[in-house]
Amino acid sequence: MGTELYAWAMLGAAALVTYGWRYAAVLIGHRLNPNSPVFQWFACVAYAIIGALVARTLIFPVGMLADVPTAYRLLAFALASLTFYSLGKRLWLAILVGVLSLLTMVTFVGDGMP
Amino acid sequence: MKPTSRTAPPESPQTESSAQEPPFRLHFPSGKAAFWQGMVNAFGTPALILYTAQTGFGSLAQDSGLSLWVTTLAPGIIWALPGQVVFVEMFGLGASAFTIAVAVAVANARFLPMTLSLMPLFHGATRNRKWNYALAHLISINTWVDLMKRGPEIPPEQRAPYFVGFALTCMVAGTVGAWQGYVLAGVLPPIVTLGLVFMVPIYFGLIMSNTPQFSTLFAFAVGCALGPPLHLLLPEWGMVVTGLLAGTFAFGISLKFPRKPKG
Repeated sequence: MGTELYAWAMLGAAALVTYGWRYAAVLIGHRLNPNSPVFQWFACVAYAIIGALVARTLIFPVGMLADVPTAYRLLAFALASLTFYSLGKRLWLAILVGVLSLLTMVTFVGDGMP
Repeated sequence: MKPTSRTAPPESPQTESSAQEPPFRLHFPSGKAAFWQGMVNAFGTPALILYTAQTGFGSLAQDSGLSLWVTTLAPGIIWALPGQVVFVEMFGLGASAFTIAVAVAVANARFLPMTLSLMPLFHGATRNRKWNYALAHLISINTWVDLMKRGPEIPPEQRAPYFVGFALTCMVAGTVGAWQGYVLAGVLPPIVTLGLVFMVPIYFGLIMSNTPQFSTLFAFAVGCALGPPLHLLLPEWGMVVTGLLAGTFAFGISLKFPRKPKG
């Protein structure tokens, strides 16, 4: 039962600091002019952080994806992007192509999966 | 701004100001209709991705010894997948509350610029702007990208119900996903799990690169290029530093060489 209490306390701490960022942003945002160009800068910083997050997940993943060769992940992602931008931006089709090409490489080219 | 001016947002709705204001492409008959449209738009790829991503979280949590209750409620309470993963990993290591708080805060620092950049869209979206503090909790990469894209097309007073409909649908899908991941941990064949896990970076990579604005697209690209090397240099702060450097650089370039927003 001690572990359960510890888990809830940790969940509370994690939730509190995450909400802290959101709260601070609303607090600051209410004091700024909504037409200010500074909001475009915020958007750029957010896009760049998420770019870093996506690139990190593809190049330095944790868990199962780490067992797959990096070249497979990058090639599968490239195929998904190609599908998305050349075939009318169909998101589900691009995801399907990306996932299937990764699984095909893992299964038939081999290496990296149990 | 004085409190009294809140009831009269500068964007007065519809006809009166139609001369200078562009008409909103998505004008719903009512707030309820906006809420429904939000649900409908989320019900599909966005909810599926949330479900999938949280399934991964659920099985990770099961593996780390968390209880089913904590796991199932974590998506709704934290509502930030990378932070949830850090929380589970730290819990597995038996870290102190302070260590967990710092690690999760750093992993989730993106919510500061993300939420800030949505504030102009929230302006006039709620009768009492204190509600913006509640709306902010619903922001995730998924819901943020959708509102950044659709928000400007929706009249301000209908943005909140639309966003709540969209985000709650994603949240329900995520909660079910975490629960399923926990219960089904170790049951699904590894190849299926691998496919599900890989859906997440593809989805985020594509919805982010699909931004119509030059400055944010450029920021995303520079962030992708700078992220991995800076992650090796600064394992903890790499993402935040990348965001500040790449985002500021892209913003500066877009100021220096302005172009039309539609690309």
